[in-house]
Amino acid sequence: MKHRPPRLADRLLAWFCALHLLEDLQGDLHELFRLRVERHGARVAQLCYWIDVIRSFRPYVLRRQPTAYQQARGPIMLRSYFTVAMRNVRRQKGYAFLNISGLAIGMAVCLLILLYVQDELSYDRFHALAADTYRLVLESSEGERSGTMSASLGPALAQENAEVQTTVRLFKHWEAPLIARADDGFIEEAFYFADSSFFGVFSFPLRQGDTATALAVPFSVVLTEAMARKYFGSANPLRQTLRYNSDHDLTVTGVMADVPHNSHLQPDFVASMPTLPQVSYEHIMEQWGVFYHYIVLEPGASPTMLMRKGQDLLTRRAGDGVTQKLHSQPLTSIHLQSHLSKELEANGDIRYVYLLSSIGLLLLLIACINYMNLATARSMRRAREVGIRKAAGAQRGQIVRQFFGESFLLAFLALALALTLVTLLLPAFNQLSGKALSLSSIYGTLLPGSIAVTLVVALLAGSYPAIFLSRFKPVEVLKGPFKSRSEGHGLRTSLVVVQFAASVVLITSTLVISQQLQFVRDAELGFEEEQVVAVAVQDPALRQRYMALRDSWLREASVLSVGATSSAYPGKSHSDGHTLRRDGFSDEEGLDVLRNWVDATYLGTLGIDLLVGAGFSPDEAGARDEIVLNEAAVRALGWTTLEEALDQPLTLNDEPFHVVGVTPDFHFNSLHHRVEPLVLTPAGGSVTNLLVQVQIDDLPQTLAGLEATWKTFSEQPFSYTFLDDQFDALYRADAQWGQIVRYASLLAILIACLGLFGLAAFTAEQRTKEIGIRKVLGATVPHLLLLLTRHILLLVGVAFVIAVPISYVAMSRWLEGFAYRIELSWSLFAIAGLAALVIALLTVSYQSIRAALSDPIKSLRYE
Amino acid sequence: MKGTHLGEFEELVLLTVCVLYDEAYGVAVMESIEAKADRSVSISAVHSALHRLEKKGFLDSRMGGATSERGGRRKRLFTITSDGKEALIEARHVREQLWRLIPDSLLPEGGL
Repeated sequence: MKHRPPRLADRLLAWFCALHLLEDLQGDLHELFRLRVERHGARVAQLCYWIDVIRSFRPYVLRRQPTAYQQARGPIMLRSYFTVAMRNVRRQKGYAFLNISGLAIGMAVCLLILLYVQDELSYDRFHALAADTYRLVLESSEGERSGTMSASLGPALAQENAEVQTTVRLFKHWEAPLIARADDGFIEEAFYFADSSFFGVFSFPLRQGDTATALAVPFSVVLTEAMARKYFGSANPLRQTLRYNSDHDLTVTGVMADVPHNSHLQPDFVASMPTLPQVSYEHIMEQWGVFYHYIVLEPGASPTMLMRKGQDLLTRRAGDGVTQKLHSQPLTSIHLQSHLSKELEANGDIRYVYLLSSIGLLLLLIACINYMNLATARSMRRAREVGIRKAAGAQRGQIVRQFFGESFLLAFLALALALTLVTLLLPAFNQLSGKALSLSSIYGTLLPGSIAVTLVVALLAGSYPAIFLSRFKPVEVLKGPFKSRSEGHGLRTSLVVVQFAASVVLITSTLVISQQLQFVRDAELGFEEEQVVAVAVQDPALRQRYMALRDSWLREASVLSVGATSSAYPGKSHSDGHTLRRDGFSDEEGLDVLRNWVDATYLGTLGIDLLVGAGFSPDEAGARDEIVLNEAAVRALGWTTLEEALDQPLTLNDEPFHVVGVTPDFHFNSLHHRVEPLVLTPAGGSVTNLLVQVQIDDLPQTLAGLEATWKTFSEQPFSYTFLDDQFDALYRADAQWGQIVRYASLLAILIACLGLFGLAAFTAEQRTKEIGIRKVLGATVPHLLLLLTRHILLLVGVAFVIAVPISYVAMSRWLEGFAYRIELSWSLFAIAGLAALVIALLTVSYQSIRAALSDPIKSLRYE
Repeated sequence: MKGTHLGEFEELVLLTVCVLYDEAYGVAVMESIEAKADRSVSISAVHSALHRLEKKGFLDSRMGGATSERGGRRKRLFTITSDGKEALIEARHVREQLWRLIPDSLLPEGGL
């Protein structure tokens, strides 16, 4: 017979069909094929053969068990795997230690980051109506988004649209009020004003008082349990009074539970909204756009639709010229995704969540790579075992399972260590991340998290060794010396390259971040920041007659100068939204400027010399229409020289002024921002902060002197900040970030070195004989060292080449956050590369030197 | 018991195995069914039925009889077990009972 069944179909059948069924099924098919060739010809027979093969693809036919032979199963084999794995751990303590500690570090970091991310994502989800609660956002024509707007917007929106169930307005004063029970009080930063619907929108439970009426009438206030203890001790606070800014009495109408840390609102006090006009400006509700609006929609209602209607409302109220756009943001996204120009509290950042997650995964990956590398590098030791197991009847699947079993065992050992590390590192991590995670609060996440991480590690780290080791052919590995040097070497090398590339990226980032932070700290800000103390003035009476206090202070020897501001000072955000116009220019050509209200000595106290002009006249009354610009403002107004600007008339928000001086561009804001056009106008009667320039020889003494004088003028607490501290606070997030990256790079290098150390030990051990022969033939120790470390140079070199573009892009993007920044110079990358190289060489040098110095007689006897 | 139910095709295969007595293997069963019942069946369907019946305990199998047409592969020869015989008899019994219960008027002239 010359016709044969189609070979491909035959192979397909042999591939999917279970062995014990294959023989007779295939035999039947072949027999049928012959019959069909005789009856219908070869073509039909072949086609039918194909059809039959495909129709044989039935569940019972499929290969489920690879063999018909009896296999040892269940606990017996499991116990054997476990025993062998434990023996391996015990026999090679060094490798096991490297493996387990590397994995444990990676897992511990991953778990900590998991906790952090989980906490960040949990913000504001505890509110019962969180899913349907939104905050209104206004976007200006310049694209700036702000959460504050006029008080009437939210209620109007609710009145016109049935899908709005509830709205609540929030207000937090930019000057924290002084709250007192008796004589001495505290300045309370977290003092909010809210509508009576506050407790209907937010799920802050009341321990005492009624949610419906607590914020209904003027002069009522709700405070947290912590504040109740602070002001009233163990006494019942209900119906008691608290004094607001020394001139109004508020009645406590409720006590709420302490606010959970994962809330973007962190109120200590909530006063009723009708209180606000009484204690603040009379027309604040009608005239000021300073209110936050939260709305609760009916379940399922679309906020986009509502915003469209809201936009109509804006247009109707403001006429066609409305330039602002109304948006909304879900309550639960505020913490991570909202970056409005004014936020109630400092928010988190989704980018940090992503970045931290990537760092965690990167470290875990590096640790897994270690495991893979060490496991495959030592494959020669295990080859015989695999050969014997296979010869004794083990199937490949069983070997795979065995090695996965080992990776699971090691991963769980590492988990135990990782959990210990998490417990130990938690306080340090809290400090680093600014969180207050406690062990008891994290069990819910930690348990499933750690099991998930362990499974991932075991599967990831175990996969390659399992596939690699189970592939050995018993005949080859049992026949004679097994050559494994070249096998898997390429992969190991590339894995090491990945590890070192990641390390170099992290080292470069650390260097760049610390250099940039050093740069912003050392930068000339253009004013005296070290000697100046800012003292907050809360007492309304003292605000009016601060001059007497100023004069008393000036009589002290250590006080050089005292200036006053009724708004901001460098490091604090300046009042925005003011329009400055040169005479003869239209409204549209007006310049958006920042503004500060200061007295005549303010600039002198900050050590700023005017470039031109004489500045404000010392006579407070005559200075009303005087204005000082910074250089940026002069240039933005179109004057080419500073002198031109002097004495020119200007209109600021429809009020006439004339220029009396120009300051250099001093950095009144952090170096994240370019110096914007700024105008200084006279403070008038009332000031909020006094700036005191002092001699810094004996600060405690000086401060005590200031306080003593203060006490004679005011009963309020003496609270002060150093200007350089104030500025440093602006870089806190960056500094924190820098620290995180520094630790991450340390850990990455540590784990990578653990792996490299193991690999070097293994290579040296493998080449013992070669080294012995080389020595006998006259190789010198330096020569041998070069031989053993040469490839490390190459690896780090390749890693460097990969790492440079990645870190360049990443760091350029980070630096874009700063208006004033360092240049990325090649030397930074060179230092990082060199550091990685030195660390790598040091890691392998111990093993290499030991191998190179070993006595050839001993090494050649080694078998 | 679920396993003892005989499907229509299974019954056909089981009967054919009995008919073929000592020569019942995949191709033979298939050819025989095609010839006697005048219907086209695929070898895979026959195989699947044979294995199902073996699993139910109605058939026994042994390997034997390699031939050159089969590329030197052995046949799997099936023989009926006593359980299989019982199942066939039971099936036939049920049928006959039902036949007997059919009113005469429904049956064609000449009855059974």
